[in-house]
Formats: sequence, C-alpha cells, structure tokens
Amino acid sequence: MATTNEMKNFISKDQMQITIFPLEIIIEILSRLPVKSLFKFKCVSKSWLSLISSSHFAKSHLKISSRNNKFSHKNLLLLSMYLPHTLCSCPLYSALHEKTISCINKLNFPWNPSNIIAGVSLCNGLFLICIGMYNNNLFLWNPSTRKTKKLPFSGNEYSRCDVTYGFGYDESNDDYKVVEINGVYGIHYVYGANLKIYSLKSNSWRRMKKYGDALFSPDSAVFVNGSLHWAVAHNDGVSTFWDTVSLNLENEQFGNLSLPNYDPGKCNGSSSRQLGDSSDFEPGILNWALGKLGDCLCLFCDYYKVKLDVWVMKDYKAKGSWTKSVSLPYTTGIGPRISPLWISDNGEVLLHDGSHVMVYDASKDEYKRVEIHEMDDNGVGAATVYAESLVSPDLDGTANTPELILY
Amino acid sequence: MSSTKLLTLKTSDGEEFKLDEAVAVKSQAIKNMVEDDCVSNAIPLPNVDSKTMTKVIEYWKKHSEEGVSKDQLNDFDKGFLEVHHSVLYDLLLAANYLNDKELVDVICQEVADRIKGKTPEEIRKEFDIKNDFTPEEEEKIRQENAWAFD
Repeated sequence: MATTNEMKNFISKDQMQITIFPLEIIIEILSRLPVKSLFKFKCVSKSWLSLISSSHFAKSHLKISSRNNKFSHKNLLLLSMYLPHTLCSCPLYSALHEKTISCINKLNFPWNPSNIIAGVSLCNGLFLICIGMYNNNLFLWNPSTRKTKKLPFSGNEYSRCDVTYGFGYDESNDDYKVVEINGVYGIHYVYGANLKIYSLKSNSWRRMKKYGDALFSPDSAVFVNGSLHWAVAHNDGVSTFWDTVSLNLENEQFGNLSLPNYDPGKCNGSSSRQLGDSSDFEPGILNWALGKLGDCLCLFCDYYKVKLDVWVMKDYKAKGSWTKSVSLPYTTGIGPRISPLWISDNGEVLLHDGSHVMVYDASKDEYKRVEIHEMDDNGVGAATVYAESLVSPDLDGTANTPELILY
Repeated sequence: MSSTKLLTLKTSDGEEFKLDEAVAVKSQAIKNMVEDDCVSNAIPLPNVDSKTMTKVIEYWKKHSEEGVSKDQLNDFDKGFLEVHHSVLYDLLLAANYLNDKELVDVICQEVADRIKGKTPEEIRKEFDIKNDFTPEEEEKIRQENAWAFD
C-alpha cells in the first residue's frame, strides 16, 4: 500500500479536511468501496477527488482485491453467445451463493458489439481486447471505470491467427506491458518468432529478441507472479512435443516451467496436445491448457468427454508445488468444454461449460446451473472472473469514456 | 501448562482491565510495549475509553477462543458490528490506536458496506466534510461520471 507519507506529499494536510478519521483510515475505508461508489464520492470534496483519482490510491484499492480468499471487488463478466454481443457483470459472491443472480449490470462495449472479439487477456482489472481478424485493433479497457484506450499499431500487419498475445504488469517499472508474438503453432512449422513489446508508460512498441526454440500456442499468455506463461510446441521433424515457457516482464528473459506429472490419457507421445479437427478426438484424449484461478497458475488437463483435471501451483516460488486440486467429470449435459473460473475455500468450483455458468460441488459430485435471466435465450458464450479496479488504461491522457469508438 | 501473565490496561476514564498477555498482544502497540519491557505497571491507553475497551476485549477474547469454527466467528463478527455508527467509529479509532490490523480490517469493511450506497451529501454529513466545490464544479464532475449516479 502506498505509504501515508507518499499520500501526505500528494495531498497537503490543509487540504484533507477529514476531522473524524486520520488519512490512513480514510484510505483503508475507501479502498474497500466498489468503483461505482468511489466515482460518486469524487464530488464530496476537492481532497476526496484528488485522493480517489490518484494512482497511489488505485494501488491501495488493488491490494484489497488481491486478498485471495475473499470476494472483495471480484466480479464475474459474462458475454452472450452470439453477435451482436451483450455484456454483463455481477458480483462473484452472487454467482456462487445465489441460485438466480439478482444483481446484474449491463455493460456498454466501447467498440461495435457486432465485431468479433478475437482474444482477451486480463491483468489487475484491465482487459486487453483484440477486435476483428487482424492485429490492428487492440484495446485496453477497464469495465469498472469505463475507460478505454486504443493501442497504437505494432507496425507489422498480421492475421489474428498468426499472432499470440501476453498482457501483464511490470511491478518494478510500474508499467503495463503487452507482448505480441508472430510465430504461432499451426500448419507451417516456421521457427523464429518475432516478438514485439508495448509499454503503456511510453505508449510505444519496440522489437524484442527473436525466440527460435519453439512455436507458441494461439492461447493468450497467463500472467502470474511477474511473468507471462505460454504453451509452446517443439517439433523435431518426427513428432510435436509441448511444454511451457515463461517470460519475465521486468528483465524480458525467457525461462522454463516444469509441469506436474499429469495423467497422460490416451495420447500419442508424451505431453502432446491434439490440435487436429474434431474427428481426431477420441474420448480420453488429453488436451491441456494453462490457466489462472485467483492468483495461482493452473494447468487444466482436459480428457475429451471424460474429465477435466485442475492442477494448481499454490506457491510459485516453490516450483515443484503443483497440486491436483479437483477433477471435473463430463457428465451428461455438461460440455462441450469446461473452463474453470474460480475455486472457493469450501471446494466449490465455478465454471463455464461452453454455454452455461455452473457450480460443481466435488463433495456431492453435483453440478448446479447458475440462472442468469439476461443470458437465457442462447446462453453464455464466455465468462471470466475479474477484480474491479481503478487502474487506468491511460498514462498519457489519451484514454476516454466514449459512447462508442467508431473505427 | 505454563502460567499466563496478566496485563493491566488503564483507559482514559481511569478504569482498569486485567487481561491475559497472550490475548492483549493482538494489539501490536501493546505487543511492542511488552517486548520493550515497559509494562511493570498498568499500561495507559489515554485514547480509549472503558466502554470501547470493553468491546475490543470482547472481540479479542472470542478470536482467541479454542474450538471456534470459521462460521461461528463470522456470525460473531456480524453481531459484534451491529452497532450505532458512533460506537463503530470509536471502535475503529481504538483499533487503529492499538494497532490491531485484523480488527481495523473488519471494521473498515463494515464502514465501507454502510456508506457505499450513500449520496455525496450524506457522506459529507457523516464525516463532517466541507464541500469546497462551486456548484458548477460539482455539476461538471457529476456529468462526467453520470453512470455512477444512477
């Protein structure tokens, strides 16, 4: 949390007229308020406006969200199934504890809702969204503050299928960074991925060193503990071998990440992921993906139509600390594809199964659907848990709260 | 079983409270005094009155009890915080002065929950804050953030 001294330098004692509580208590209280309340309270007084708008306070507010075992500031974002999309959010607490969600906020897209959302990454309540089928429509969006920023073009036009992204926060430089990698596993085995990195602070892209060792998964990176993590494919001319790689955002160094001893399932060769068309899928075939639950890096091992095993790396520093947390069965009616969203302290798993949001209770081996009336017609296309934050996608004044960005 | 040391705390209105040291050190401020070895007599707490100290000790004792489940503690906390805001604010100031981070956290969350739906004017009354915006300035902020006011 920003020290009281830092805050006091920012707001002089004369300005802070709080007569009942000292400044540090006011910050503690305000840090626990939802963003909507904070925006309302901007007009309480000039000192409150300064405080709430400061980046120091945004960090304090964020610290409260990252208390893993509580629901503070955490929401569930829901995207409708078909275009034109509708977007809603509700408190995570409601999704887990209410059979029918009562508090749904409809959100406005800052872009045309008839355009395809071709990729989403999330960090500290800020989303990186890729719109359309090329790499020239990237946005940073904070749904809680409703501020958006379009990123400058990275310089090389690629089809969306040929690039993969990573988005995260470099704490030592207090900067949000986006990595764009052209070198995605596909039909052509062309090694030598081109990497570019965008810094929000400088609002510009620059080239990084090429990465020649493997091809990247099209899935966006998972950001945990200061590093981005991707699944990568190595091909020795005979077969494809998948493992994972990490990229530290502070020193921009690549590293390895060892995976747990997961059940290999029915597969041809160690740790292969089937990326062929669905006719290649036999029940039990393993397809794994990296993920994140709370603040922990996870490995989701999907055994086609049989089960999904969730492995969690509880302690990032202790690299051997993978634990198999829960196994979600593909019982009748569940599917086509399970995506875990949150695991609560009592072992309940909130998940999206491709069309609905559900809660799985491992102790009863039971799924319960979460009723969301706003999404009834065609179901939920995608869902993610995010923390409300005051993080601004704008460090240079170019973000705005548009009615609609027309492009 | 080792004998527990009893500490004496003296509040602003002269009342004395005797408490197990193991419980009293939930207050980082008291813990520091114990470690610095200046607790031969009663520990003076000039910023806390006896009414508030009674409540604080009630909280500390419950949270030091053995065999209490998480659910039971949650229920206790809920009931404990169902007090008039003036009592709550006295508790918060005491918890801050005594430097008990856990209690400060719990009370701040309760205060936040109580104020989140209030209007700016109600907030000003609650915390005795002067509105130093001109009507035009205030209107501008409301318009820029209209979505927050519905």
